Amino acid sequence: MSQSDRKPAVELRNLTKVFPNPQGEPVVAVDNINLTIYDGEFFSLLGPSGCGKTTTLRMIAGLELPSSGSVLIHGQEMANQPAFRRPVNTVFQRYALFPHMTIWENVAFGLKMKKTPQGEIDQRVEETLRLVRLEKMGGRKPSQLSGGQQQRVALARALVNNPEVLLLDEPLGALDLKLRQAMQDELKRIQQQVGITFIYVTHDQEEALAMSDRIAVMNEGVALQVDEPYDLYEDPKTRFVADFIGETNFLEGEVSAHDDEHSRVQLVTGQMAVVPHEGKKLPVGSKVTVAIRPEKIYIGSGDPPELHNVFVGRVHNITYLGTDTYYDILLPNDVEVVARQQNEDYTGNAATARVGDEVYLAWRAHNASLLTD
Amino acid sequence: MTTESAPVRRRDRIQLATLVGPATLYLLIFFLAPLVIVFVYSFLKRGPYGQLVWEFNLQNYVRVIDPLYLKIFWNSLVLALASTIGCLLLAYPFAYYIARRPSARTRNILLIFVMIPFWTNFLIRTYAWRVILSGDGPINAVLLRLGLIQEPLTLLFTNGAVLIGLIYGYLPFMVLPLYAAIDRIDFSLMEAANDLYANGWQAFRRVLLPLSMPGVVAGSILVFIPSLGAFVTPDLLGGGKSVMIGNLIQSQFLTARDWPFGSAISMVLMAVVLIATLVYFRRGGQAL
Repeated sequence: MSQSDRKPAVELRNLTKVFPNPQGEPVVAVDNINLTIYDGEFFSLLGPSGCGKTTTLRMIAGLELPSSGSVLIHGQEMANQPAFRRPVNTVFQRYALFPHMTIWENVAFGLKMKKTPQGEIDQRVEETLRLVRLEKMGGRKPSQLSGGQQQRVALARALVNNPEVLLLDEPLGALDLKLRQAMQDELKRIQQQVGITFIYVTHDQEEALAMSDRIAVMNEGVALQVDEPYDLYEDPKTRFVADFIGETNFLEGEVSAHDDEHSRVQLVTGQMAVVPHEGKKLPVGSKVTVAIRPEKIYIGSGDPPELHNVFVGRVHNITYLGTDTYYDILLPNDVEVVARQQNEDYTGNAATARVGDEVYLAWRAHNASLLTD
Repeated sequence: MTTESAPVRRRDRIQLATLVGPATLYLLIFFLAPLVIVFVYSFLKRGPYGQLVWEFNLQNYVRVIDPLYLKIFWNSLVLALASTIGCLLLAYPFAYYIARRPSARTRNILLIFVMIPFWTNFLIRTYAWRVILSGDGPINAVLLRLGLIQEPLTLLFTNGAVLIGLIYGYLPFMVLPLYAAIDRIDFSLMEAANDLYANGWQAFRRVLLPLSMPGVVAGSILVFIPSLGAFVTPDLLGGGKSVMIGNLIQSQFLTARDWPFGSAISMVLMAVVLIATLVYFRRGGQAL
């Protein structure tokens, strides 16, 4: 789906939030964020705790006021709209279900506040409870439900209002692993069914990769990279993104030459790496980092394949992980590289290196990224 | 079905006796026994010199229905209700603020403010109010100086003065349970209400208030019951003009020396309190 033919649902313009810390000093929680989220998109804000993702979400909801910058929802400036007038609804991290109301009353709350006719309330609450498969639970109190069921009530309570944008603040954080995976599928199904724009806050990179159309990776209040999951993983633009999403080996070096497609990087190991420069030729002598994912590295002995990037090293440690094995390999100057090999697959191939063996490492140039930070 | 061994059950019984026993025994001796005595006295007769005459009769209870005494009952009920409502209106925002907003430091300072009055004897504090409200007290002095009034207002020895005294005296008993109840509420619930189109008032009415009802009920009972039976405050601030049941009971025991009648009024007062509390608890329970 191309983005050009879609309407922006939420636009964040120079959005900034400064909080005083307990000592009264200002701390920048969200630092000049510019983002456009399109209609019908499943968009994730991904980052470690304290990166500003929840504050960003709360500013969209109106639960927090920006220090500067603005939030637009379908082109409407939200600065003077309190939370209760914004056309968005939130699924809170700990659900925040009203404990003194039944499930039905919880889900009906928003419609009631909007003075929807009773007949329509009844119909929509019933429909929404069916959507989240809780149609038989309407009469219960939140405390009588399991964590997963409460999570679905929180979702229903927000969705029933048919918001222009649904905001989800780590909604699966409190669930155990199996339930979390089941709910990921469920959320994705519901999002596709209702077609509402979802803005999803999470610190779990796998969750974000599995569900999102696009992801903004945040750190220290800054949106570092906004991309589709594939591009984010395959082509990280910063060291933080490469490290936060999946695992990455970082090899320090210095640019020594260019050709039409590639830069040559003199690594600190004394070896030469070849990395695509994607049209951005850095000056010779620039300090750079070559990032390469463990699973993109092939290890073997005997005749190496004919690739630009082939290095010799020694197996230092082996960790068997069921589907895969991790090989820690020492390159010259004590630089360690982790390679991940699938254990015996259907072809019967498997790496057979042992600790202490001399092996070669090889990777295709296009699998590595050239980072400048 | 749990099958408990005999030693376990014996340990339970020992714990019951040692932990619950002392307080129970104390209340049995010093609360229940006097109560029984008062109950018995209320059916006796006063002798010519104020002594007890052991002659069973219901005359004391018939006397309570006298319009004179009913009026005092009514006045007391109105004042106790007004003081409860007054305390509630003053205490709720205060308790909300300390539960919600400030740093631990501000919170502790505000809570200490609530408790500071307890450091001084209640009698002395109530006498202080006599000075404040008197004809040549500071309130009248300021109003006269500002030219807002030509003659001192009669503040002392009115129902208003008693009400001020009651609210002043019992406000902390409303603040503390309210604070405890509001402090327990998860404030993301208020955000959730705002997020679901409820404005501030609606969020208060639909979420905060119902969830803080345990504090409202507890605080109201803690204010209403002692207000209804108060006698120091109406005695000092009401003079002879605003009389409450407490004063009536006191005067029957100490001045009129009519212990049986005083006992009968006490029993009626207890019955009123009991019924009022039960009704309130039931209604409060429904609101939860």
